[in-house]
Amino acid sequence: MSGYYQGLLILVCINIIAVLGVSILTGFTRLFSFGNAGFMSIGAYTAAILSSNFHVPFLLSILAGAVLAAFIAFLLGKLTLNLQGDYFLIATLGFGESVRVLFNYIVPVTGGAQGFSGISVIPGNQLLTVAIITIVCIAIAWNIISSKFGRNIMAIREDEMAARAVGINTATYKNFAFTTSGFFAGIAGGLWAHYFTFISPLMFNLDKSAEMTIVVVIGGLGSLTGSIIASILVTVLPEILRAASEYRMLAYGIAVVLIINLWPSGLMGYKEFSFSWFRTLWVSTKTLVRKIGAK
Amino acid sequence: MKKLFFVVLVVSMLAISLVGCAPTATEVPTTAPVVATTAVPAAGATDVAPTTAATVDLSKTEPIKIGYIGDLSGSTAVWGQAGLNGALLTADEINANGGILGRKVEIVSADGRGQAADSVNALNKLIDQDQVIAVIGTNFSSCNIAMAPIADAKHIPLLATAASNPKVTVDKDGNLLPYSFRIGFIDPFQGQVLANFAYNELKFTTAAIITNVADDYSVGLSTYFEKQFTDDGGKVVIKVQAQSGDNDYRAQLDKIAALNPQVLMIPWTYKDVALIAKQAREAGITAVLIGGDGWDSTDLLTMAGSALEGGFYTSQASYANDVTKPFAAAYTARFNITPETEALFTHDGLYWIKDALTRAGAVDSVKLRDALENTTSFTGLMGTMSIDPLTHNPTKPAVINTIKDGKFVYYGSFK
Amino acid sequence: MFLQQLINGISVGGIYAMISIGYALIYSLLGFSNWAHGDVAMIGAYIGFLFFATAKLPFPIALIIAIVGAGLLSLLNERIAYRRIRKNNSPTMFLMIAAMGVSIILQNFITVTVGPKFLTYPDVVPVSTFKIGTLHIGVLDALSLVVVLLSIILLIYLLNKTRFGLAIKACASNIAVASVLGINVDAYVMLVFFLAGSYAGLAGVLLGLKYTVYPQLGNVSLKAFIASVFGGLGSVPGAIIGGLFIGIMEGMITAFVSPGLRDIFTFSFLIIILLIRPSGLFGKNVSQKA
Repeated sequence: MSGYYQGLLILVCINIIAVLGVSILTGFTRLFSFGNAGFMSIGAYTAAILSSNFHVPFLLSILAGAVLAAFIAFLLGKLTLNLQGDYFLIATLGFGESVRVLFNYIVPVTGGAQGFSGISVIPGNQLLTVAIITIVCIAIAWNIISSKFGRNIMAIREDEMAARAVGINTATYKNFAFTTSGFFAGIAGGLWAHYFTFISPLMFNLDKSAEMTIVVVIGGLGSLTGSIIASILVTVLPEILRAASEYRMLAYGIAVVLIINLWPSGLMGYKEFSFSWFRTLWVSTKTLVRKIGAK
Repeated sequence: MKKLFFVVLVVSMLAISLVGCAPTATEVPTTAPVVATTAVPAAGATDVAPTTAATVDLSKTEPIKIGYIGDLSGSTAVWGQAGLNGALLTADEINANGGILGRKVEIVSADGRGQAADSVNALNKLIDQDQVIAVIGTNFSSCNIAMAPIADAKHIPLLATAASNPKVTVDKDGNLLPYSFRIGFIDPFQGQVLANFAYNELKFTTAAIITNVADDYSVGLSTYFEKQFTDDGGKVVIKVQAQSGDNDYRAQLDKIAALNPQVLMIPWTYKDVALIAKQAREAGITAVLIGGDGWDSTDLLTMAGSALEGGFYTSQASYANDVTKPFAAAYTARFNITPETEALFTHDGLYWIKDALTRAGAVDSVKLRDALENTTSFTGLMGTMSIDPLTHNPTKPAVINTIKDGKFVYYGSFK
Repeated sequence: MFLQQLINGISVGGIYAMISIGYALIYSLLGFSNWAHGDVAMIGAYIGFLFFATAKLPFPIALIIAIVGAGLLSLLNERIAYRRIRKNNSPTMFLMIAAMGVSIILQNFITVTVGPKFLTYPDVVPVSTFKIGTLHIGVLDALSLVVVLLSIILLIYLLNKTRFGLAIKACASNIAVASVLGINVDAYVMLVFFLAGSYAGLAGVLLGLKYTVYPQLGNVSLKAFIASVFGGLGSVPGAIIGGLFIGIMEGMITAFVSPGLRDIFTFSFLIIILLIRPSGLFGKNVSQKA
């Protein structure tokens, strides 16, 4: 396969992983975060520093980056999750920006604005490695959603007061969702670093955070499948529509406003991919054919 | 059910990655050959005698595809677009004079948006889908550093235009990146030239620097300026930091004003240079203002008014230099806008590739690379340069321009 | 030096305040932070530029057109992007997402049509500086401070001494009850958006004059938002004080601590406020949304 398509697919996978986290957070707990690029950045720099300066094996450095990002998400969550939606959003935004500013500042560690280069490449067949990691992440996310955790989180989303009344410790579950989003973002960041072999704080800015949230909105708040599909679309469409790249952001803005007004459940709503679809499709096709045959 | 789902998912992803996708047809060329309005290429740009159009019908030959990556749609599209226009104009000029090795040149562009991720995608597309034999671009070091490994792996020479971070051609361990080249000089050189100029030519002994800490270009230039200025014997009385987007630099400038340095170094891009200059004058700073090639835009003077009068800046090349005038006129006639320096880069980049291919004798990317590396003397509209084979950095003089009566005026060439 | 930095800070803070006022007004009515507000200011700057620099109308006229235009834009935003969500009783987070979408639309609309080039206003007043002892303030800055002061006084009068202001306060207090009492809530919401937008438009023109005009000009609204949180979301006096305070604080940190880390200080400050006193200086008691 040509390097161009390989590269595109790797990028798609990395973006999917990052969006998985935001999907769990926003789609299932209704908390909007504009700082997840900060977690990506933490994951990226940690993995890069570990693998370049300390020769830690690839998988281990990615994991370490993700764990650190998750830990910081946990701390941040403790501080801010009892705030109202607006405040939480701004706090996460501030966090994301602060990470960027900080990494620009601590030049001896991160290289500052000049970036961190010479990161080792993803070992083995790059696409295969990334694809496997992506599948594992999707599996984890899926399990979270379909488990008791997932149901509790959705209960909080629907009616927090009621959830609390039933005895669900809302604070714990919200922070769990937030920490998870940090973990996934950290993995995505580590993969990003080893794919591009060069990172700079600017790569993980507010636009990136906003983009992740936009993807979740378009895909449907509350659907993992929707987020994955939307993520693929958002990564691939600009390449297909290279001619119209000027209008890309404009189209996203319009899409967001339209979707949140008319179909807040986005592409998939609360539905997930399921095999019963095929059965439904088969049945309706049969019915249709029979109707046409009868005419 | 869940297990089956995952099996299907795994199998499909593996299938995608192993089987691969069918190659698509090469992209329809974006330019049509047009007879250029200038008949003669820049003096001394090539030593191949131009063949007349009558003896070789280029439209029947297979085109040599050269890629261009720049920011075509983002906030710095002014430069990216100019680079592309310059490339198109130059390609037509080359084609009107017999092309390269008897084949016509075709420019294929891709939008890098000034971001590393998009530039990497663009490079992959140009090489794999469009089969270019070389790529010109970008003017952002961060993009080129990210693209370098791909150029090396796929053996396609990558010619950065204004990207001035040393790491574009030499990695952080000191190893040469064999397929990365650049047409412009590097930050350390610019910083040194400015420092020497301020100390030796303008005879200043005290300086202040204001740095954009969010920009690697600004940080690099500041560091090398300070080092050289201090080595020469001058004193940097104060260094202040700020970030692009702040728009308001009075807090920092007031600190500088209090120390009254003779020269103030402003290594930023022109929008902020204009703001800083105006606010500096407001703060009562009377120092001479100097800066690097980030000043180089026709908009700078419109925005800064008289605040920059008497200032100096280094430039890769100058439209104030007479040798560029025919090119500038042709550019304005065709595109209805005054050209930016980036167009000169792509112009010289194309002619350099032509020169190298001719020396190589064959349209082959590996031989092209070798010929580029062994350039001992190439003359373009930006001056004469030679390449250091160990670093791929060009040795060429820096032009210093001054601002007099609200216009850019060529001051001199410095090494 | 300290006094000079204080003057710098007030100068910037005044403009923050103009935008924070808009945040406060809209929050007090609808309970959400209008993310697109800063971009309304940006459009105001462009409108002013269009009529002053391109069409070469006298400055006061261009200014008025900009103010009215921005107000209308803000009103349109409400009508097109927010109203339906409000009527559907969807979570207020949806309003914020819609606002984010509007913000992207506005910024990119300008980028695609006018272009990303930076535009400079021609000089309205001769470029010179008032000097008092060792302190200096630009003539333009001094004038815009006066304008800011006058507009704030006008707003306070409007809100406290007119029936219009009373109706707005009623709506702010409890929209459902206000509507039962016969107040045409929709009309007042539109009016408030218009008012907020016009102040943003004024701020936009001032920002354009002071610096340059470019599509990301609205990014300053983040600081204005922090200012309104500090002052108390929904409180206009709080927004004004918050704006001034943030402007001064940032100036001080830039001058005396570290410009590189300035934003971290501002955001940490925000988090500290949210932890210690989320209702800000004058805000209503903020109860956890159920």
